[in-house]
Amino acid sequence: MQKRTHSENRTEDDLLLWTALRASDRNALGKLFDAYVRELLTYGYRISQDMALTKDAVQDVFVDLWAYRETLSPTVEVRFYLYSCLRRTLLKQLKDRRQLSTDWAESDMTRQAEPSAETRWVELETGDQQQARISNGLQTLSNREYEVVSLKYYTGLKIRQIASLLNLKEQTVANTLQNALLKLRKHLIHFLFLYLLF
Amino acid sequence: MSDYLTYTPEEFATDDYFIHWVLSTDLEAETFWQNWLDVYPFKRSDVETARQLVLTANQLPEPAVSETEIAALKQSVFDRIDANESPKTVVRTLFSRWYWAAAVLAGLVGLGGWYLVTQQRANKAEYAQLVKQATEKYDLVEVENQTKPTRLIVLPDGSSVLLKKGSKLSYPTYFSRSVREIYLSGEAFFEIAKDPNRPFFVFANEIVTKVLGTSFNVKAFPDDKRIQITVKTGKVSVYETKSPEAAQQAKNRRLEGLVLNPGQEVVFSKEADQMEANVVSHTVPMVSPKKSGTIQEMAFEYDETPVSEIFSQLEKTYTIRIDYDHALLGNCPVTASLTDEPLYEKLKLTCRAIRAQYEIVNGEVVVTGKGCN
Repeated sequence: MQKRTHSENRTEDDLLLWTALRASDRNALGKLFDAYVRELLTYGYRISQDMALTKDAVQDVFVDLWAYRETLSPTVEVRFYLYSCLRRTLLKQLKDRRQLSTDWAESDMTRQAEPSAETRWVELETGDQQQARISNGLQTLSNREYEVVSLKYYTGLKIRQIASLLNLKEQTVANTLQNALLKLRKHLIHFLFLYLLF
Repeated sequence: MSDYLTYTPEEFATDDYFIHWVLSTDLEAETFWQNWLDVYPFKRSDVETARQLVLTANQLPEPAVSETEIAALKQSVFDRIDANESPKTVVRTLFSRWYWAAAVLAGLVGLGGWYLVTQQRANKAEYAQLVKQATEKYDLVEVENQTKPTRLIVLPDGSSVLLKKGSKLSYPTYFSRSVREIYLSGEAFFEIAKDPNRPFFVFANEIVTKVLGTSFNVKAFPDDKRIQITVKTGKVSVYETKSPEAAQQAKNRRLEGLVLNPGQEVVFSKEADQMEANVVSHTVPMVSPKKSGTIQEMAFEYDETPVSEIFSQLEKTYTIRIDYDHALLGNCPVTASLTDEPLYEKLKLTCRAIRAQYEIVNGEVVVTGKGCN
């Protein structure tokens, strides 16, 4: 399993593929898909906690990319562009679904069992500090912190791009990151001896 | 870098070079940080904490997605794209200037080679038949030019086509991995993107022309029963659509059958359903360098030429508009040999020479740069 994409420098490849995509080269779309699908799924899953939804969203992103290829800007940071498309698409789908579930919620029993993805998302968007994470030492992070950490250490996006993606100020992102790391560090102190064993 | 001395573990953990060191096996980073720790050993504990932070943060859980799931996802993406793109929609899109505006910008690297295919419309049945057959293989787009002297079309591989008045061109919405095939009725001038792995075939009624990326003219006048092909640079191979070679040619990447070299010309005579070929060698190039006339007569050779002249030639040749600051850029000198380059490459190379960029805005080429002193 790929652990990380940060050090990969795809910029040149990406721009070539992007240019080809804009010239309606289907292979280029396929290659972009191959290059990014895993990290997009990971990111989508992390913020939505819903793999089916994430897959739908990733699919939409690439279908739209093709549908609007003629109007795409010639110079973009491809990774950043894909992440923001995915985020937007997920948000929209969650809202749509929420709409649906308020209209026809009664029939949707499965979604009542646990906090739904859309609830999580909406709370995330409204800055709610719900602690929904149950993973190694990260449960203390807020949703926002979790997403920022995820973006910073998994995607290799710059703080500037993360800020733009989340529609936050750079300073806010930097602060969020620092807070998240402080929390992680406190957690680490308890478990550092475990790391030292390896 | 001395800033690092004041860093907290959190600051280390958010520093890109530090992260790079922790997560990569880059020797340079390794050397830098080990040396740094040798100089400032009292920071070792902070650095170790920071390292653990980065490792932890990088170990957020990842969903398990199998290759099969990925493949299925990819398939559904392309299925949906196919479903969205009924041929009608595509044709309508192509008729808007947006299509080529977006496509022109796609400056594919390594384009080269151009040639002309001329074919009168007399043999409609043959074209229609070829297109009908091709429809079984490809999702075809047909573009027709009824009104303009020439109409610029950009093919999926980045090749550009100037379709002459009263002509039709059919091509797949995307080319297959191994071959590029297009169908012409009438007259067109082609600039083919160089791609040795995907030979390019022009089916112009009875004659197929195969090219890997080169320059040549094809003139076909069914009325006087002659089809004439003249090679400018490189090599092409030419054969009949229905010959046994046709099937064979599609499979290999070599040029076989009737191969024409630069300066050579072949004339097919259609007599009683027999194609008779006569090869003629010319000692002088068929095309003399000119800056005007039709595109196939034209040279794009520049020696300290003001860029305004080049842009003006491109504007006329391709019937495009190029916007730029005449006062700032117009006199920038360019020395370049662009004759065999497709439109994208011409624009790209010209802009590079004057340290400018181009983009397409509302169907116009917009060139921006800081000028040259």
